[in-house]
Amino acid sequence: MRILMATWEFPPLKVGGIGSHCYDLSRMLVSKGHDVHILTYGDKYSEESMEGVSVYRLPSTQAPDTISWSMFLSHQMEKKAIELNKEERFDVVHAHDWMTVPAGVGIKKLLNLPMIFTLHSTEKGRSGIHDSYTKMINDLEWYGTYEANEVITVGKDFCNEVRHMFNIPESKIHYIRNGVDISRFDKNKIELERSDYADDWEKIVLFVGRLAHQKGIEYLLGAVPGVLSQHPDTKFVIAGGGALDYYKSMAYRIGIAHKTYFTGYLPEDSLISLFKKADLTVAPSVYEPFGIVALESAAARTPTVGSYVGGLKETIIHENTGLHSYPAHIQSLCDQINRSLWDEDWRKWMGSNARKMIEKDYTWDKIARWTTGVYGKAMELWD
Amino acid sequence: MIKKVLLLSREIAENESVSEYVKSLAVFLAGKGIEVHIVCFSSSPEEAKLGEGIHVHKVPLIIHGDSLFNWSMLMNNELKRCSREIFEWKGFDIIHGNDWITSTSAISLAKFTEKPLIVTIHSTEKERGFGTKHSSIISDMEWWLTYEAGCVLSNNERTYQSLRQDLQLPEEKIKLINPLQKGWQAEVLEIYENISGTKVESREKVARPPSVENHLQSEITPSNEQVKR
Repeated sequence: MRILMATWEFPPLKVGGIGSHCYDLSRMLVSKGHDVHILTYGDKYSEESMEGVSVYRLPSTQAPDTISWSMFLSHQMEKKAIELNKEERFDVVHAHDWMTVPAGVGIKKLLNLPMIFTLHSTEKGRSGIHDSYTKMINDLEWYGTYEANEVITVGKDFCNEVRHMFNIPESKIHYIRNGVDISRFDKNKIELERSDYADDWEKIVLFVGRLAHQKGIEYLLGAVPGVLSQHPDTKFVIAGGGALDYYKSMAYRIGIAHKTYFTGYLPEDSLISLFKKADLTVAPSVYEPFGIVALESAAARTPTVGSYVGGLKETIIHENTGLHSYPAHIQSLCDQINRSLWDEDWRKWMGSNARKMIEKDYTWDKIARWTTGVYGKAMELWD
Repeated sequence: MIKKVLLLSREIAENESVSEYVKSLAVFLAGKGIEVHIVCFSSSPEEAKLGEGIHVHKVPLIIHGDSLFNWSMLMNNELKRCSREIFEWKGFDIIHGNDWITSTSAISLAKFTEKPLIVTIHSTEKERGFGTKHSSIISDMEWWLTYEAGCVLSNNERTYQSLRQDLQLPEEKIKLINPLQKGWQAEVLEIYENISGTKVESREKVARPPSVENHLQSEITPSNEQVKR
């Protein structure tokens, strides 16, 4: 198939998870013999081939807000699409999240192509709908699902949520889970010094993610004193950018600043090394469409304690690949962390189970095959 | 010979200057035996009858925008769809856009169909006061639209001067045709005929405002460094 994909972020630019999702998916599609073209943002126009994926980076213009900015970018994407479509007609156009909805719909309508739309999260979950700006983003998300021939969501729970929120017919919404590229974990060359993060006798409990309310860091910090009372030799390593100062001062107020280490934003190689060194990963999210962090941890054979919410319901199997805690519940989180810290063999057993689970169910090979299945349905090759 | 013309307009309303311009032009062209397709937005299904040979295609938009700019960017997708269907079904020889509000459909359709693009700028954002938060991006859109057009029509001296100075259009690309003067439509038709007979080349002569300068330079010669990486 000749596939045109629109995403506002693409490696090396990495803000959320969409960029690496598109990169892993498109590389896998190329390795299966498909022709994949990526339209994305760049501060200057450029074209390049990344492992067989054709990437076109297009600039936008100065805009009063992100919505107008993405509208303008969409028009640039559309112009490039017209040019590429003249070389050889595309089979499908695939848009990711609301920022490329105007591009996806424009290309669909002008070039008469079937459109696929993947929702990675919703504005309602990210920040809530509280003014005309967030309402417009919510509207664009709905519009994308309305105009798309087929809709893909990344989590089972999230799929139901979106289906009801946007009234999407069951026949056109699909759930294709996200994946992890295990080879990146196995081939990772960077080795961090463990002693830079914790004392030799301390266990490392790792949090990875944006420091935002959605990720539930305050519940983790709230649970720390309870964990320390049973396991005084524990270090909480919190990796990610965002509201760093806010959470640092919160840790200071609780009186656990000496037992928490905020690393700030870390590049992927360093994160992988941290995942491998950690005794336990925690994902205390209050909202999580997919919860890739549990899978990344699994790739490093480290079990995860995560909230029973959204995608984490699936990416963690309770008492098998990790442990579930009640969402937004400090005591529950504290109990589950304590339980797992008591027994090192149990943790190792859960870590290896987690690794087996992702090797079986979360490979890009499977995801790419499911995705082309959806493409085929959009092209009306089959039902 | 011009046989079929596509006119793009935000709307076809009563006593609205752009609508009256488009209607008057359509009636004249139809009188010369030219098939006219007007594609515009409308939220009501009411049919507009302008006479023999004039087809008014009103397209609805199912989403409301939070601003005129964002609304227009989405509305243009409907103009594109409808116009593409007309093109595949009957074809047309000329695309005529009106103001920035039809820019993305006008530009994309011209690229898609490879037909010449004529644009009438009824007023520029600078003339309208540049007073909203979207003024800068609208002005960018005006720049792109007039850059991609083979010929730009202005209705009066004031707009002509704004096109020259604010959008930096070269003199030979702009035609001043006053729609209040008798016989103006014949001049427009003459421009259609001239432009469809000659290859569109004038667009490259345009000077570039700073905001888009970098983009254009790199569009012509992509930086090698970027490609290697």
